Formats: sequence, structure tokens, C-alpha cells
Amino acid sequence: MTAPTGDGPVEQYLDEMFDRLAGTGPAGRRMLAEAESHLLAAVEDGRDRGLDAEAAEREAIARFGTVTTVVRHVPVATGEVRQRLRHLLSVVWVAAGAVLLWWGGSGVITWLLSGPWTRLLIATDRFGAQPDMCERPWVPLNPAVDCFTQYREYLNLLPHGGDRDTYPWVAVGGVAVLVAWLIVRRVTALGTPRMILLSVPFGLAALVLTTYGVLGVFHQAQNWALSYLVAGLFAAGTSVAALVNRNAAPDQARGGISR
Amino acid sequence: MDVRGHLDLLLLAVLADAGPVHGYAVITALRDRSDGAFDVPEGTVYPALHRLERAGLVVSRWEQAAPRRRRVYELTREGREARVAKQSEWRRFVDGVQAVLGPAATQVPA
Repeated sequence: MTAPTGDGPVEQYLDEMFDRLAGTGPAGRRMLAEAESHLLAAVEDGRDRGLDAEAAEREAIARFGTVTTVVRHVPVATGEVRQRLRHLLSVVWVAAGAVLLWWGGSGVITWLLSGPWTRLLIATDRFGAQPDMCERPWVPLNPAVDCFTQYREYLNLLPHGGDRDTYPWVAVGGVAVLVAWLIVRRVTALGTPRMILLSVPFGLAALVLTTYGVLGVFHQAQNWALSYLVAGLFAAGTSVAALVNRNAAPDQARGGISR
Repeated sequence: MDVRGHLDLLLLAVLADAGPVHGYAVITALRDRSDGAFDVPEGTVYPALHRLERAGLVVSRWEQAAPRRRRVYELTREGREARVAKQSEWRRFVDGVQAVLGPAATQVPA
């Protein structure tokens, strides 16, 4: 049996064809197998006519046609297209739910922790006014609001602030979106996205936000440090959860063909 | 020579005459029987065979023949009927063209 050399023209041709047949499914796999069988037979014929291996491979390829010419005759599998669209929908759906939950959840947790955090800042003069700044002679800007409440309002709930009343609803919306995705996935062929697509961006966000928050704590513990820490740790948790579940997706979309 | 639009008939004709045969032999027969006139990129014949199979005109199976595995193609009954129908259609087309061109068209220019 005449086999193509490891890096010979036929092998390179088949490698290129393999890449270009991505998304064609069974039709592409069959085309690739038949192309290999055909080219090997053609090379054998060429060798029988006295050509050396290199020339025989080049002639076989020339007669077979360029990869572009051949591949454009292989139909893209309808199932593959549908599977890709389902995968895309699934990715967008889960990402939307995760982002809503992260944003809203971070705001809610930050608000819950804001009480002790504010007391800590007041006790340690981290607002930069004066020690024991809620003691006399503190003069409230708004006499109707006590010192603690006023300083608590200075905290940023999230890195870019925001109205805290919306956070619970955003978080609930995120949970609802994710629950809806779980239900739809069970009753349809929606599929599970590649969790690495969630894990990487959330991991990067976690790195930046947590670093910023930690710097804030050790530097001056500004009023934004808590929100950055919470948002960063929440993002880290989301990233790890996605990473842990990455293998729990047996029906991942696979765009390529296998050889 | 461009055989687009006629490749199906040519493949059906080769398969009808050759019987169960693998793709490489189909292509070789196509080239030999046309004296090299039908110089199609050989790789495009396989998608055409696959299309005929999807249409139910051809069936195929892998065959482990030395020295390698090959896919063997064979006409179905519908394929044989399609070949006859397409051949008749082609004959009428040729006759029509011939009638339009007239007897002079058959003369080889000096």
C-alpha cells in the first residue's frame, strides 16, 4: 500500500481539506475518506507509470482539483447549522442570565455587607474625615439622617454605583432566565453551551475587580472597595462554577469533523 | 469540455455499464471513455455521486478490498430508470440541436 508521506503534498492536501470541511458533518467525513482513498490509488497509478513519489502525489492532487473546488460541492449539514444556532442561542441565554444574576446578586450582597463595612470605616476613619467622626462635634449635612445611614449611603454598591432598589429585581431576573433555560433545555434539543465561554470572561473580570478591591482595602479602604471585592468574588465563583460544569455538557456542539 | 449539467447522466451511464464499482474506477472510466474530453476535477465527482445517492438513484457501501477500503457505488432500479429517461432526453436534445445546425454542422472543418 502506498501511503502518503507524513508531510507530503497529499497529506498536506488532506489536512487542508479536513480543516475546510468543518461543519459538513457526515458528508464531510465521507468526502475526506473517499478523497484519501482516491488520492492513494492515483498515486499508485502514477508510480506504476514511472513517476517518483513526489511527482505522483502532485499529479494526483492536480487532477483531483483544488480543495476549494471540491469542498464547495459538499453541502453543509442542515443538522450542523441548526446545532450551531441552538448552541449560539444557548450561549447567549446562559450568559444573559449569568450576567444579570452576577450584577444583581453583587448589588444585593454588597448592600447586606454595607452595614458592618460602614461601621468599620467609621471606626477606623477610612472615610478620611476624622476619628470617631460620628461623635460630637459631627454636624450632619441632613439633620433628618443619622451619621451611620449617611455614611452608608456613600458606599458604592457596585463598581459604577447604581440604584440599589433595582438589584434584587435584576438578580431575580437572572435566576428566572437561568431557570427558564434549564426547563427549555430539558424539553427541547437546545443543548448546553461550552461553559468555558462563560468561565473565561468571568474569570478575567474576577481578576481585575478583586485586585482593585484588595488594593482598595489595603490602601485606603475607599468606599468603593467593598463593591469591587464582592463583584470580583461573585465573578470568581461564577467562573469556577462554569469550569466545574464544563464536563457536564455531553451534547456540546461540535463544529468540526473527525478523522 | 464543461460537463456541468450533464454529469449526472454521465455517471449514471458509467455505473449502468460498469456495475458495482468504486469512485476511482468511475472517474477513470469517465476519462477513458471520453478520450480525455471530460476533464473534470476528479474530486467533484464524489459530491455528485453523493447527490445521486441522496436522490435514491445510487446506493453505496464500504468494501475492504486490498490494499485499502473503498466505497463501491451501484445503480438502484430508480437509477436505471433515470438513466434511460435522461438518455432519451439527451437524445432528443442532440437531435434538436442537430436539426437546427443542419447537415453542415457534422462536417469537420478543413
